[in-house]
Amino acid sequence: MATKHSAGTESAGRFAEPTLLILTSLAEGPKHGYALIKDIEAFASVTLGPGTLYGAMARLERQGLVRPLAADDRRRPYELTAQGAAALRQRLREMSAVAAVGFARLAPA
Amino acid sequence: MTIDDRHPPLLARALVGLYPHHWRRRYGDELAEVLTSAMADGRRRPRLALDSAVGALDAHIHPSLIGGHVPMTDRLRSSTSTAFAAFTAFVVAGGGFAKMTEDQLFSSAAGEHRLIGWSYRLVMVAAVTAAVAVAAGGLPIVLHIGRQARAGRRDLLRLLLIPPVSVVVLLAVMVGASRLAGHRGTQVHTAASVSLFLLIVAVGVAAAALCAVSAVAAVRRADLPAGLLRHQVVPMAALSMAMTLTSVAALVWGLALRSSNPALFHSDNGLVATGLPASWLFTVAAMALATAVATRATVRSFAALREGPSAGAA
Repeated sequence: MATKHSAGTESAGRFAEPTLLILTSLAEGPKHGYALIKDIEAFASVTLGPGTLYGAMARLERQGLVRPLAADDRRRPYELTAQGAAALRQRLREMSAVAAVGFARLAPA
Repeated sequence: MTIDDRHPPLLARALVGLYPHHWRRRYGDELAEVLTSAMADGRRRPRLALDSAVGALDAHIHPSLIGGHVPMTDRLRSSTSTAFAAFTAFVVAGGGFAKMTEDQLFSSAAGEHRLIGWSYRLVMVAAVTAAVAVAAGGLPIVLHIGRQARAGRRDLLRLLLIPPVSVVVLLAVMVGASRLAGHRGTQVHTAASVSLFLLIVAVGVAAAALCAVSAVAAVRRADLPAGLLRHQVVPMAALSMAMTLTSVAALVWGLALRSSNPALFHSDNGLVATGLPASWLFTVAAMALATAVATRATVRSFAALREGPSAGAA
């Protein structure tokens, strides 16, 4: 079933969840690749593999939702763009609305 | 040990090497660094390797993931090596078809029914045409890489040696298994003969995989002139057409056999004495899949040429 997400994540395919996790992690501030993996593990209990991380990162960068900063040796931090912050906010609102409906329907009568 | 003075381990470099050229230029150092950190933290290497390999496949399938300019030569290089890897898989599947149809019963059926005979001959002719197309396209590249290897590129020399060594090992295993079977007087379709056959198949598949991986790595690492890569579209187009013809002919062969000789079609004359329909379907599907990959690579080569050297990612 095709799903229609908010701007920036609609074409991510199997990377939809990783992109959301990355955007959420970067909302705290710039991070490089391995710091992102560890942060996402900490707040979402999801371990992103390096291939998945950079597949999602390439898509986010191409969509203008994140941007690279100056590299510190081989580690390059990334930060959220204004467009990325807007896309994350919109996506979280949509998820909150779905969650609210779900909880309401699960509540005992 | 600090991260800064760490050199990426061999596995990390090998995994980064699976990615396309233009992708490595953009993310290669970062990915190597993440892999190095993950391995230093004791994360499971097979899982890291699998995830990176899937990521590399994704990067090959979606070359436009990297924003900005993807050089035409990189796109041609990627398409050429993909077509060769597909051809290697095609050879393995085709070998299964040839093995399956070597029985005298099939020769008799081909003699009795025109469509079976014609389709079988077409399989052979088209397969040889595909091999000639690969040789025509691959030989100039091999010679070019060989010159660079002689000039001191030891990495290319090692890669060039892998295919002949793999073939020699395969031939040695085949001769050894044949002598062992002859010495023991092994009957066809006994446990011993099936074991020897499966050994040959396993070594053959491993040899084919090594040939494909080494050839792809050599093409990606060597400095190949744009003109040489541009000319690859002609043999690649011939290869795609020949592979398509072979796959269709193999499909027609099975359908003709099913309609004209149902008893033979539903016999256990398939691979390793299994049912023929399943063996036929499996080999034809594998050939068709390899053909689809090679054709897609050929189409991409033509697109890269059409867009020209200054075009951005598709």
